[in-house]
Amino acid sequence: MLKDITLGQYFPIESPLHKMDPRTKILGLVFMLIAIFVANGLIGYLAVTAFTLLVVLMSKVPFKTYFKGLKPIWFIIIFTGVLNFFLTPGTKIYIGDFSTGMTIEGVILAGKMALRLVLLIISSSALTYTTSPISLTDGIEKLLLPFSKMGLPAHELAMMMSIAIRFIPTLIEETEKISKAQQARGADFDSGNIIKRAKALVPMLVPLFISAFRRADELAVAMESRCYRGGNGRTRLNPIKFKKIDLITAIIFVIFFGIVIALRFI
Amino acid sequence: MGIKIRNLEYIYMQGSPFEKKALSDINLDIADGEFVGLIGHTGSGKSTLIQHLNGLLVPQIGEIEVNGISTKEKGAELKELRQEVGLVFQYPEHQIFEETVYKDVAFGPKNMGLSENEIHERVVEALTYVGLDDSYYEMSPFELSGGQRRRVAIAGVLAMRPKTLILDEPAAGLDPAGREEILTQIRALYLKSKMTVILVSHSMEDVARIANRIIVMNDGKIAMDGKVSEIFSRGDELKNMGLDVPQVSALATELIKRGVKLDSNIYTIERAKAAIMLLAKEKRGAEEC
Repeated sequence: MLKDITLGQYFPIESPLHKMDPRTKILGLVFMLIAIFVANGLIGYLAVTAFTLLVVLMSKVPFKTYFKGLKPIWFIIIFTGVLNFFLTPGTKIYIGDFSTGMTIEGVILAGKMALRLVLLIISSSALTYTTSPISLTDGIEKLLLPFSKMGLPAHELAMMMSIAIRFIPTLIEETEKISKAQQARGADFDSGNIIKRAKALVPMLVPLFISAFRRADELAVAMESRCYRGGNGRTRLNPIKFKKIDLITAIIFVIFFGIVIALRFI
Repeated sequence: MGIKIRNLEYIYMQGSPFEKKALSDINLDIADGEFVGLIGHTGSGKSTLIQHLNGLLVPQIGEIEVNGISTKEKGAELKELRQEVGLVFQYPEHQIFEETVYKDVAFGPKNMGLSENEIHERVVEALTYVGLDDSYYEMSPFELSGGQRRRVAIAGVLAMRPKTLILDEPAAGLDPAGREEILTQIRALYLKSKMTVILVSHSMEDVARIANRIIVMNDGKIAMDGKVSEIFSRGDELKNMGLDVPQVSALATELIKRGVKLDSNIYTIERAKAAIMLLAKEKRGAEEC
């Protein structure tokens, strides 16, 4: 069912990570991602893994949830892993006299790749699990603000993002309703060949688009009638604040990042 | 044959923290040719129940038999069932997609694989039922008014010639004139076609006027089931469920309480008028003597 799709879902609990300024978390993630790719050698990998685990623990989101988020990438990990096993040049692995075709270098490379991918997903999930979509877009807006002097419409971009996120569940619900209504009129969405199935989608897509446009129009009118005029001079109900915890996190991040870089290049 | 529901239960998002029981232990029989009003507060399970009647939802627990087709059986003829039970959703005009009124109404019959002639006959019949003549056939549905568009959508279901017609809040969001028109047409259609009609609504006024039997749902259960007059005589219970008796009924009950001799099963304005006129006549007669 469409309803089961989870999209970087927010996990509404309380944790130190939830309380942080979204800007700290976004920048932290950026540094984290760089660190994951820069990390080198056993100590480097151990450092990024340990740090990711620390973040996961601090978020207080159950491990199970993180594992669920990994589901879509298992295939990629296994697929690239198998390719790496066999295609990396190096010392061949023998079982007795029989050549397996795999290389030691290949196995190591596959392990590194898998670890990187998993850490990448887990640390990105840590951001979306602990930050509500609204504060996430708020954070992005604030981060982009310096660029608005160069003509980048920071507020508008952030507003578009939050509206888009807001309407995902609404549109999913609408799709289900329309598909049921057309099924009640004998529409058949799941039999026949590919062309027939694509054609069967027309009775669903047309009303869906019409309703999306109608909603957009209504929303625009509602916003304008409440005097929405873009970001200039707008104040916020909950302004985001850079607190002590953010400062501490930032310092820890800088030290961690420095260590990873140092391990790599010195 | 009618509709037979036994021990039906339905739970939304079973096994997740958002689990919600939408229906519990529903037992219901609806005979052919009945006009049933299904009322209940938002979230009482009305919509979930009607989606079971044409196989859009399959019972998790319990059984449903509609005109001899049991929806629980694997490989049940759901497509056929959906022809026999026409379901008009809330705001059905949102499902219109074709360029012309005619083509949109023809969508259902076309899915049934009928011949061109048969389709034409049914489309004309259905559009006539809802009071749209041939000047509308080639119009785009989006040129029409809200009420007209809704009637096109209802015609789209009628064109499948269902034996049972279910309408979910057919008058929602229409102005009083549009409401009146739709409800009158539904009643006329019922009298003419001898279909079984199930009308879902939260408006007591609408249901009281046109249905013969009322089923009240509350919290996923059937709370009351009976004739219109029986249901409205239990005004206090209805109020506890967040429902209201029609205003005229409330007025009549109040008048009776204050000693006016009125009939206790007044629930339409026409009846109230007749009863009060009768009373006034009697009174004048008594004064003249």
